[in-house]
Amino acid sequence: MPDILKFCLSLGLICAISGGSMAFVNHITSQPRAEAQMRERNELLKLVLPAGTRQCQELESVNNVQFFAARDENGKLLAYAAEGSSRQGFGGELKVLVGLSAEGKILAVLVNQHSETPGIGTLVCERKQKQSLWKVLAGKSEKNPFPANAFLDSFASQSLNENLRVDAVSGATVSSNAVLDAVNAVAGAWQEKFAAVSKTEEP
Amino acid sequence: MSLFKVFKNGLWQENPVFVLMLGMCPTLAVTSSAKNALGMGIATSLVLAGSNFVVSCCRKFIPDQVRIPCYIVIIAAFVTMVEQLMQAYAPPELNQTLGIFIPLIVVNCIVLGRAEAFASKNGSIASCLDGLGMGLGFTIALLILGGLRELIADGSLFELQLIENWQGIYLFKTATGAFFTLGFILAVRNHHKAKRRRKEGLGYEPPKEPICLSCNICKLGK
Repeated sequence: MPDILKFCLSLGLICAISGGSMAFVNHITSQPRAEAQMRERNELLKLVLPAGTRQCQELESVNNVQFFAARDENGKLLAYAAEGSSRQGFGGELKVLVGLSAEGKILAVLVNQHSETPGIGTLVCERKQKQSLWKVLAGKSEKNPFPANAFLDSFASQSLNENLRVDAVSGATVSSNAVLDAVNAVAGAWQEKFAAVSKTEEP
Repeated sequence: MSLFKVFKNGLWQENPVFVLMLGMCPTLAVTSSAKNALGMGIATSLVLAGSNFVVSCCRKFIPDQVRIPCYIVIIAAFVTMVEQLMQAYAPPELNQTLGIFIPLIVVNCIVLGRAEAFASKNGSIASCLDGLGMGLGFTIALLILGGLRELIADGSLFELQLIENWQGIYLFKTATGAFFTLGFILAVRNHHKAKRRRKEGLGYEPPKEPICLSCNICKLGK
């Protein structure tokens, strides 16, 4: 057998086995992965919605943006939340959760799924709390469930019906733009879904 | 070489960052804080041990001439499967802290380098230990770098503020600061080594023949 054929065969065989096992693992983990993602998203939804929320109901999605409605115990509408995504991140897809007031004002923004470079792109994705060592040692530290992130917080209290204005973080321009792109996707879907409704309701 | 020696080799004597100079890209990018450094180190150690084991098991079936593409395929498939399994079954906290590093490891040259330099010539247990040792050495190096950078940039360690009201130096948060820090660490290491050699009565000895390893650029055109 000529050598070239042997090489092709062995490389092809290894590729086939690797591909097959990847497909198998992908198949058996696809459902648990989706469930784990859903659980994580529901946990994070609590952070972007107001504290009085008792139930969170999934609404129809528009242009791949999933909307949620948050109600208190009497069923009164408190706020909306939306999950938007962008494919322009440095490491591919990036998803944001946006808490919205009933008028379309942004309450809070959170990146719930990303594969940005740790230490660089994650500057605009992570909400990290810095605690003082001395306070921790004295047992006086408090864990903040929603630490600040200057970039993500600069979205807050802007209205989805106007152009969003934020400053990108230097060193993480691509990731900043991806977050902005994802929030803009939410804004587009919001305008399509709710602006049309409010126009028809006007006399 | 005894198994313990194989393990110890990667820790300091052949430390992948400070001596072999492998995997510089994630080293410089990720070490902006000690926590990131630790996460990257642990994730790399586990992947390295696993991929070395798998490559060593397959080494007899792979023809020499196509070994590099075969290793790349095996390592990439292995890492992808680990990532998916972790997303599915690992606790969410673990997945959040380690999971973001896994895409960075897929094409990390330490993993490929150890497969080529060690796992393709040695038994599976020795290869696994070599991976663990190299990974641990990588973790130690990253921790030194990340700890120093976080301390200088933020006055904190592992997100715990050590120095209150520290006027941060932003430069050390960026890759530029990583180059500075790494350069100073290497300078200190070389100084220490030279001092020890002088004590033994030996001077600096340049390598007799430049070690070109796989770079054949000077032979091109001949």
